[in-house]
Amino acid sequence: MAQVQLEAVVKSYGEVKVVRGVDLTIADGEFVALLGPSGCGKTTTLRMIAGLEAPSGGVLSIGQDVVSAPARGIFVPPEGRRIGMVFQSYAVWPHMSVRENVAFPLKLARPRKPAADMRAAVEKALDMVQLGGLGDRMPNQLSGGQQQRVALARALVMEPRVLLLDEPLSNLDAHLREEMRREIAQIRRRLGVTVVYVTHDQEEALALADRIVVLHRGVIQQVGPPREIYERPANPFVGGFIGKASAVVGVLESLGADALVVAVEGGGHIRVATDAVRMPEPVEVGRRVRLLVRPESVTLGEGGVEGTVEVATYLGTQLELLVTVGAARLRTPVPISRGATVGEAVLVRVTEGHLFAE
Amino acid sequence: MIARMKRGIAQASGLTVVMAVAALLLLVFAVFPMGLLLIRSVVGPQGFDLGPLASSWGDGRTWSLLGTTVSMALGTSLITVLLGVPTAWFLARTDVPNKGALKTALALPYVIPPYILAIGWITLFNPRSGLVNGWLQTVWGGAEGPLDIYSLWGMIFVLGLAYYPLVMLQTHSALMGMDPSLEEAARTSGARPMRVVFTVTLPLVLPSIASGALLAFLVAMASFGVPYLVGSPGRVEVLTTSIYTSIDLGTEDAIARAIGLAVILCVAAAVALAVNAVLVRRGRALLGGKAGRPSLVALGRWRPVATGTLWGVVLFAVGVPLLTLITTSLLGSYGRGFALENLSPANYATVFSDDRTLRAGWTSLYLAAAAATVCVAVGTLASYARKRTRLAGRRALPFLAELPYAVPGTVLAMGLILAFSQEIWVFVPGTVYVRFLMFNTAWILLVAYSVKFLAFGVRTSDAALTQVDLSLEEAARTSGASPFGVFGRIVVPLMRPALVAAWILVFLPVIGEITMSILLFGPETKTIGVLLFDYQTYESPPKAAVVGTLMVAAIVSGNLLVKRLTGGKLGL
Repeated sequence: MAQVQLEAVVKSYGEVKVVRGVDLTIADGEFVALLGPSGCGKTTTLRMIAGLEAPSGGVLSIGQDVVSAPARGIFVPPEGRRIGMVFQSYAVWPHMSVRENVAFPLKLARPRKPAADMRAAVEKALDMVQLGGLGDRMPNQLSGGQQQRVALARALVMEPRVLLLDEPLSNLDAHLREEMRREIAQIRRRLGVTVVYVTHDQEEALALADRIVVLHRGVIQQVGPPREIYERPANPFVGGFIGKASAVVGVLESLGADALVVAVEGGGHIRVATDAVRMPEPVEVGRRVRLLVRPESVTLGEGGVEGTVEVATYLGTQLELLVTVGAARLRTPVPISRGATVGEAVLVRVTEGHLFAE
Repeated sequence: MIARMKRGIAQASGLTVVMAVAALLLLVFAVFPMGLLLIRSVVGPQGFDLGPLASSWGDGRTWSLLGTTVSMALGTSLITVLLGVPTAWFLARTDVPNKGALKTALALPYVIPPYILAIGWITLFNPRSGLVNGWLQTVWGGAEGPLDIYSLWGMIFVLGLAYYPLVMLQTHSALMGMDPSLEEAARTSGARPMRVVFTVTLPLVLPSIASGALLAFLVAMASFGVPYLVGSPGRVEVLTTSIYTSIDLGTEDAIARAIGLAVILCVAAAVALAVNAVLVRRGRALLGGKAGRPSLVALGRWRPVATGTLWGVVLFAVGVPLLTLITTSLLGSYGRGFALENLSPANYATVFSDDRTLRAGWTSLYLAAAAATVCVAVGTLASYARKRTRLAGRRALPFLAELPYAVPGTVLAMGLILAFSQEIWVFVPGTVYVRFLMFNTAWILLVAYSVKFLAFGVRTSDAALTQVDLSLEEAARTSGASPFGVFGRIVVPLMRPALVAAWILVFLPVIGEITMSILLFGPETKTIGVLLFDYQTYESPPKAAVVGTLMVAAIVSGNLLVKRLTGGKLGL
């Protein structure tokens, strides 16, 4: 079990800067999710922790050891870092059986454990991922989910100090994904190992992580527990990326003790109670602003502004409506039973929002 | 609408008719001759007679021939693996610089007919006047050099250096197509880079390596040019050269003997191919999965050594024989040594002014052009029919084409001789009939080339077709075009650069073909390859070297042109 520390870590490929100065300390035993859209640098960062990529600058340490420091000419290769890694494509070796796959790291460890201990460790790892008894199967006889478990067992068999996972669930179907998510959470609780988990799926990050690191274009946007990231986004990117917020761009027309009003670019006004609006930084009246409104903060009913239903999408669990207020378009869920028709006139109330200067 | 439907059916039928005719021709010119050969091996003038076959197989000479042939092929195969696998690994997995150029250079022997390279090696290592032997003699004395290329080892040496690209390219392909996370997972599990190579990388590419080695084995076994130029002068005979000698002799017994040997060669080839088919399937199973950019091993201070060694291989396998070839072509008089005074371009003038050269050159050119056209035209139609239509029997033609492709050229030529050495009578409706003798004419050569390289035409078309997005054709169909129409108006125009490339890729090897040409040429239809052999065996090696140099120049530039035309996808 160890902490992972990144100080001013940079990665460039020629002219292109993929990771631009990341500072991050992951505590011993913590589960940290690296979250962001494609190309944000999260996988590159994970691979640098693994030693599969060398940083162009900065210092990377695992536990007490500095494992990468280009300025000092230090680079510990992956096989020397004592980590476990689970790859997106599982990377289960097709020419070895399940048992041989899981036993591989044990065979390479020095000093070598006696054969009996190695066998026991393999069985223990297989049991932990619910694959006990399938040790003699070949990978091509396993389903995708089972192969993923083999990869997990292989990563855990050495009781690594850090466990790295690179979008491990993105190749699985929805059901399997949920099941695996629960199992990963369970395993992590049992072992207490430090976990760094890369994903582009915010739900996964929110559900699993102790802290989420949101990345965009190689720069950390915000670090914090899931609740904080969701309820108090630090900037428009985080606010827009997490949750299905609708963005209203316009001018802050008035800011009173009770309520504020945003004049929407293109027409219309949105009114929100002032204490229900989060403003990470104070904004003066007359400034161009971006108001982020989450679907759960839009209600239809008395006391609202006039709006029209533009689109109604059936999602099974609910009806997702796209409602226009002036030139603003707000997303909001309603129960199926309520029903809705395109063009229906509704009264719209915004109960919460996040306001940022544009 | 009915009219359009009718037109659609007619055009689809048009495609079917063309396919059927082509299949029929394949049956007549490939399957029938092969069948005839097999039948003639067990049926004599008195009917079913295993006698000649039995006596041929009971003859000690036959078995020693087989032994020599297999040894030659095995030795070649071994060298191709020893050279091909490491070069492929360095190209695919390390950070050696200039990989594009290096790969092209390393693959050069693949496109040059081995017998041309052999001329260079012969100049260096022949026992009487070989250059290297000359230098060694000044050190150790003696009149005849210690190294004798006219031997089994000589053949293995030349063939191995000529065919290692087969293994290299297959292995390289497999390495590049592997999911890189398989090796990365081994690294994160604690394995050092060398360990990864032996526990993960090699086991997974082994089927591809084996397939390449097997292919090299097969090609070596079927080769004629090198055994003839390098083995025969040393009285080392293999199956192909022995068959040639027997046919040249022409007696009943000799022909019967040749037939017996041809059957053996055929069986050996069939076995090799069957094993290869299994290996290919196994390889595909192991390597399925996402290809991606693999992590490269940083060679660090070993980089200059590795780079130097790789270019050294190029120098040795390609540079040395070619340079010697060019120098030989400039030699004033062979055997007088390589002093600078002895070098002049006089030979080029002599060869060019010789009527024979011009005739042979012209013969090869028009035959190769015709064969290439046939192979690409039919090949493209067959490939399209199989991959993009649901016509009945669409798989028949490509399948039939694989037979002559795989069969050793000597065997195919023998079959054609047996089948078509008589006159053919063609009845034109009415009273006129035409006597037609294919033997010794250009037609039999054209037939042999077309039939042999058709599968190659199909394969290059297959590759070119994958570049054409299916949705482009589907859009044409939903707009009203029939399959033939889609083919003519959409597919062919889109494939044009690739088709030209495919044409060149068939044209070039046909020009350099020797194995079938030497058995099928006639007094009026001597090809450039056969002429080269004449020069090398009966006249002067420098003249042969002139022809060889020109052929190499044409072949290499042709391949580079193909590379340019297809953006690097086909060709060198």
